[in-house]
Amino acid sequence: MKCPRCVQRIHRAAPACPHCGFAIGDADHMFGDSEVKLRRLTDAAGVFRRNQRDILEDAMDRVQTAFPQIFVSIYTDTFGETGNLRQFGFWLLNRGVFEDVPVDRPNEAGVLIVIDPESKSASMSFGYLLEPFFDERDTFECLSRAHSHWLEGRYADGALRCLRQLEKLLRKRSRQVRRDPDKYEQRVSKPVAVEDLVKKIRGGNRRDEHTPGKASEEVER
Amino acid sequence: MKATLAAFFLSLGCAGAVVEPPMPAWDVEVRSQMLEDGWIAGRSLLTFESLFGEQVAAETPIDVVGAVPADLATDEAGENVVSEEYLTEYFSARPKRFLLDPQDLLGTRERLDLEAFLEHHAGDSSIDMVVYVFGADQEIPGEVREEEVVERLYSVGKPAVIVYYYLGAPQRSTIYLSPIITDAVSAAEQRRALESSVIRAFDHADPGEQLQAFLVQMSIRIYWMERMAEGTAIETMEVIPEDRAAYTFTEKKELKEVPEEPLPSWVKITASVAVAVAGLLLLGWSAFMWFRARARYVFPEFEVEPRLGASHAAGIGAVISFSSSAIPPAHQRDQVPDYMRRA
Repeated sequence: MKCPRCVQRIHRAAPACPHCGFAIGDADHMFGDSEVKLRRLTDAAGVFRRNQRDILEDAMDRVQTAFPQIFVSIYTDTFGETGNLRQFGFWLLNRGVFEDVPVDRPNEAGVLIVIDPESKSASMSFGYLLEPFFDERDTFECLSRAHSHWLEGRYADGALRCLRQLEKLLRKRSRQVRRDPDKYEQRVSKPVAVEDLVKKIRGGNRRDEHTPGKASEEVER
Repeated sequence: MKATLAAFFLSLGCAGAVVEPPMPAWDVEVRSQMLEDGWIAGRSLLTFESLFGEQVAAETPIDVVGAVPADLATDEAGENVVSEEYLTEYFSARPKRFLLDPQDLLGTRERLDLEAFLEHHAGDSSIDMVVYVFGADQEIPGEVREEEVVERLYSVGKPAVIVYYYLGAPQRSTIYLSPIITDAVSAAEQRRALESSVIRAFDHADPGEQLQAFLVQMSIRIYWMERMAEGTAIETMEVIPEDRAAYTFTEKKELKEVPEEPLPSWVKITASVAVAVAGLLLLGWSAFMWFRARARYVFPEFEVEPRLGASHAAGIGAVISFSSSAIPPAHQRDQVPDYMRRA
């Protein structure tokens, strides 16, 4: 878990970044504190053609069909020299109201891809639902697949490749979670309190003393 | 003054031109002596007597004896007709060998090689090839009709292609087919076979090599004739004597232009297994894709404490720049704050 502004690690449940003090209020101050209505595919920068939009929406539908809890959104815009895609993605996923996304898929289940054709950069953000299963490396992997296409200005092709990689990674992660859900739960579960830890250790030691196996070994000796 | 001098010299010139030297004249005795000797040098240049004499001599008809009917008959028949002594050997019965050269036009070695080849062909093919060798400028006598010979000698027995080959003149060659397969192989196909064989023959200069090339190509063309005759010939085999009728076209071996030997059993088994495995793999892959398309993936919903005051999301992913090909994704793996990045 990292801060959208300083990209430093922060602890879970931190109300603000302990390094730079960033919080949602700072993003609201930068981009606005009201809700923003938009569609899941918003091409404010105008880089997609009509048929490309159709293809992308089909790909997004496919992801949503395979993953009934999740939705994918793509947003393109120009942010100028002050562009801060991480903060914008973080803000939009919290303040955005996606009109064409079913109500049973809240923003917690969203994956947002932001593309800025002016500063030639792109970012990926995701909601709390995916946080135990998805991390920065995974998003980097998805965006890397699109790099060569975006480098040539083929934004739709790049986004498509990005979506395919996202789908592939989510499938893989879903299978891993099914095999070992505890591993992923520990990533987001509350830390054990010190008192509880002491009790656990003591309880464990006590159980060890009274285990029939050990007792029988002592009798034999 | 000048005009006077010019007139003077002009008058002198005119007076000189009027006085001519006397013409030479024959001494009568000398001339008569030379006439007696029979020749006077330069006489033809000085008089027209000899020219008139020659013209008269040219118009005199030449006494030439005309052609007689006997001579004409000899010319028409020519001296290159195949001698009667060989006709029996050529055309009396169906030959037991496939190469007929009673005139010994071919060398021994060539003949043996060609016979071996024709026997090899006969062993492989359901249509024999019988070759009659004649000289380059030889003619078959008029009383011998090739069609009649073919019909008489080759109506029964194993079908054959009969080649009348003129050694050194492949273009004169003709072919005939046994009546049993004549209908099955079109005239056009026969003509093509002959033409292609002649063309192959002309690839060589030596008459022996020409014949060899001719026969090789004809053997190849006979393979296609076999295939064309496969349907009809079997039906007409009823007219062939029993000992010959045992032969059928199904026994032919395809060892011609496209040599194909029957595949070993292990190859067939391996091919069958490979095809079956490929089919199963394709089926499996199709089933996998179908199941995958229908698969639904659900993640367990763990409780995540909100961070940074955000109610829905605080999952910060990567940012990638595609401003320059000099900065590949591999160089952007370490994420830095946006304010440290160059746009």
